Amino acid sequence: MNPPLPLQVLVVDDEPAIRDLLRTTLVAEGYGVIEAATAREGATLAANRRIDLFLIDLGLPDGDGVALIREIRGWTQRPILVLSARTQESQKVDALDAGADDFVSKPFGVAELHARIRVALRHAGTSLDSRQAMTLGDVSIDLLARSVSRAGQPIKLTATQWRLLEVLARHAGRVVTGRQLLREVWGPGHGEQGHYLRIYVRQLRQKLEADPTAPRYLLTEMGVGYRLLAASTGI
Amino acid sequence: MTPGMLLVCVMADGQALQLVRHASQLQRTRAGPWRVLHLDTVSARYASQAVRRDLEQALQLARSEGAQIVQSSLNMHAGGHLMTQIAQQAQGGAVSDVLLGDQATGTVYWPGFGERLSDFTELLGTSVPNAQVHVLVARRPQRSAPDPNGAWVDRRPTRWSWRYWRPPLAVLLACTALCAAIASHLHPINLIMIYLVGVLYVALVRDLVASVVTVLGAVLIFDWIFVAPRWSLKPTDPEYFFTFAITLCVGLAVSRLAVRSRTAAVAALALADRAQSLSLLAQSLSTARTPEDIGRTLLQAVERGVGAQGRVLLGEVLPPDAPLHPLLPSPDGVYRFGLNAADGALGVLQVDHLPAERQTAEDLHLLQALSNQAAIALDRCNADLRSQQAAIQAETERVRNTLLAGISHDFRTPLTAIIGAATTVLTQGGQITPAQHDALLHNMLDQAQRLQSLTSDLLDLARLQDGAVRLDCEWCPLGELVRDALAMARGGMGACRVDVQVAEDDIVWCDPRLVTQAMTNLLINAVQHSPAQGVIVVTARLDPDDWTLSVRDQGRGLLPGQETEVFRKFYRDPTAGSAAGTGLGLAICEVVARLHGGQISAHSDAGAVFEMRIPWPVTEPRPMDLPE
Repeated sequence: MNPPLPLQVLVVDDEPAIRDLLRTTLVAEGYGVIEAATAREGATLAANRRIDLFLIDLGLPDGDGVALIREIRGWTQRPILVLSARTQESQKVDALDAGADDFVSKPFGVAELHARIRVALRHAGTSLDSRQAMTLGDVSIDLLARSVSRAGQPIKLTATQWRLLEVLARHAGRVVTGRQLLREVWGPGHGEQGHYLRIYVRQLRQKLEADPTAPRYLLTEMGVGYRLLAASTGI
Repeated sequence: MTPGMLLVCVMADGQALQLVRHASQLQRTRAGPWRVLHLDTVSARYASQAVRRDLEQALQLARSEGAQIVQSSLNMHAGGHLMTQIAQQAQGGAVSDVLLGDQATGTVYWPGFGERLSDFTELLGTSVPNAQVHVLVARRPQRSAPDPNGAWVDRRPTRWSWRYWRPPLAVLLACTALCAAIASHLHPINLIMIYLVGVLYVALVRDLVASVVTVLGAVLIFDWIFVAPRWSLKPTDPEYFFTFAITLCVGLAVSRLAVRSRTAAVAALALADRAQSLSLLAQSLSTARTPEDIGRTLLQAVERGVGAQGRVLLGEVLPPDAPLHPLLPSPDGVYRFGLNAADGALGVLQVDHLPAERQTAEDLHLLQALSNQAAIALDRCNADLRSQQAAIQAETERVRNTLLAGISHDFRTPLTAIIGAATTVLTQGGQITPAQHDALLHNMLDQAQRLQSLTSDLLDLARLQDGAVRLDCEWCPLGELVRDALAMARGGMGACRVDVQVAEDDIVWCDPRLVTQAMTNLLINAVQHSPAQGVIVVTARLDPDDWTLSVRDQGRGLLPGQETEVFRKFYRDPTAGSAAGTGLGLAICEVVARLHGGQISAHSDAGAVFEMRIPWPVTEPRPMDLPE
């Protein structure tokens, strides 16, 4: 009997040095690697091969990495990770809004890359709406009953705080952009409220975190958005 | 209290000596300084010998009495010019008294400022508020001190006024009386000569019409009274008709000649005045530095020269179909003169309301000449500007080269280390111990990370300075900003302890990403200049107009002069040695503060203190209590 096929990762990056590095480290971790140097090549390979995870660089010579992400997201829910330089914050946000699951900033450490890949693959199997409950340390969140409690004691949240927490929880482990939060929490006409997002996040931290000044679960992704790190997820 | 300065205004008006004498008498009882303002008028050159001697003596006396003498040019057309001169002098020194003569306050020097002495005194009083104005009345009556300007200056009465016809009537009466007195001794033919002398006088003081009327009157009166039969216009001897005809011809010729010579004198004075206008403009332009200065000077010269207000339109060009002054009059009454230099038009002088009597070829010539002078000055000014720009460009180039040199040096050092370590591992891998191998790899990683921070700093700075970064401000809890900055700086904190004295609940308005970055840079800078295990204090203060973040370290502080130098690109503390960073961090902080409309400053207070001040938004309401 054949050994199980390794998970296939499609790497789309125009820099041969980066592709070499990624191939080396991914193969060493036991993944199968398919490489593409251009967006078009990436799109072709993505359509014709079985791919379990996409690693896409944003600065591609023949087109926008964001457009490629949108195209892939059109037909698969498999995780997409974005590779981006630190100075490309707006592109990074665009990519996340286009459907990417997470990002890894260049230059990156190999350990960080593998951690992100593992998180993305773990969440890939679960559908967003099927999540019902999760715990953050001693805080448990019941998405169905719309209740939060710490060590059995219910925590009272305002409507806005609850919606904010709900959106973050549905994307637990993954970064949610500020834009997405505004859209999902306050709706399309959120204009003014955008200026208060940080204040609501702070309120939420004060209620959920054991030490709000050193948050462990509700993390800020500088220049991009927020991430809710769940200790465990109930299905 | 010592009295202020006494300012005495003298000019060639026959009153100068009187004024100076009076002033020197005043001086005996006063202790303050005094100054004699000598107003040089064009008409002074045509003044009588006596008047000029009077002025010379006055100035001599003033000099011997210890007065300071100031020369100044005065134009007789420009309204209020005398007033301006006096006011300028008065403002220059602490003048407490102004002494001038009533001759100078004749209407000649300030048409439009009121004809009466009291008007003038009052006006001068308002333009020199702190000074007392004394007007000395001429000792001699006005008539016995002939006004040197009266002969030609345009203060003659109009043709329909009684004053206009006074001289012709007086002349006719006087001549008739004289003739009647001597008629018995002379042949009537000779009496007509007396009338001709009278006609000559009228022609000198009045125009052609008056003298022609006088000639006709003289012939009629002569015929009526002195030619037989008396009291009849029809002479017995027809030969007298010939006499009348000759008299008429001679009278007309004399009138014409006299009027023409007077016109020539007026023209000569006007010419001299225009020449003075031009030379004054040249003088003022030599000190004008900016195009605006030049425009202002030109407008003053225009007002002085033709008594009209003008406008200077810099950078405009005359339309191609504009009438060519002074060859063509303007159809719409607005006169435009191009300010043209060798390399093109620089602007337009526009005179909207040129008085009708000033729309002569001479005055238009003057305006064009003034414009040309201003154009030359503008051209010179532009050349200055160009050379300044060239100097700035050269300086920019120099700065850029310095920057490039700094950048390449900063890149080369870690690259050298990386290449050295990598080649060592590759070529001598077998000869080194595993520990050395690891050390080399760690060294490579460190150097690569240094390169990484350098490039990201450089990129950040370039983007911030290019204006490519748009501020994305929002209300941020201050505590979070500081914590984010601490998290970003954590790698470089070493053994330093950070004491955060920031109220968690304070909310500030800023772009969180940029301010966090600036804060991180300030923290890293503080660590680099702190002693081992030093304490870094981060405080924030919220004021009504702005909020201030300050980072204080326990280092040795700033050297004198470093307070602004530290924010310069690639500036490194010469005493910091190898601990110095990229030399860009504080430059980034400066740009971030500036982008927020705020500022950053540094000073020493037992260690270096950096303060970043950011103003509150004007339009955004502060969320005092956000609904939960």
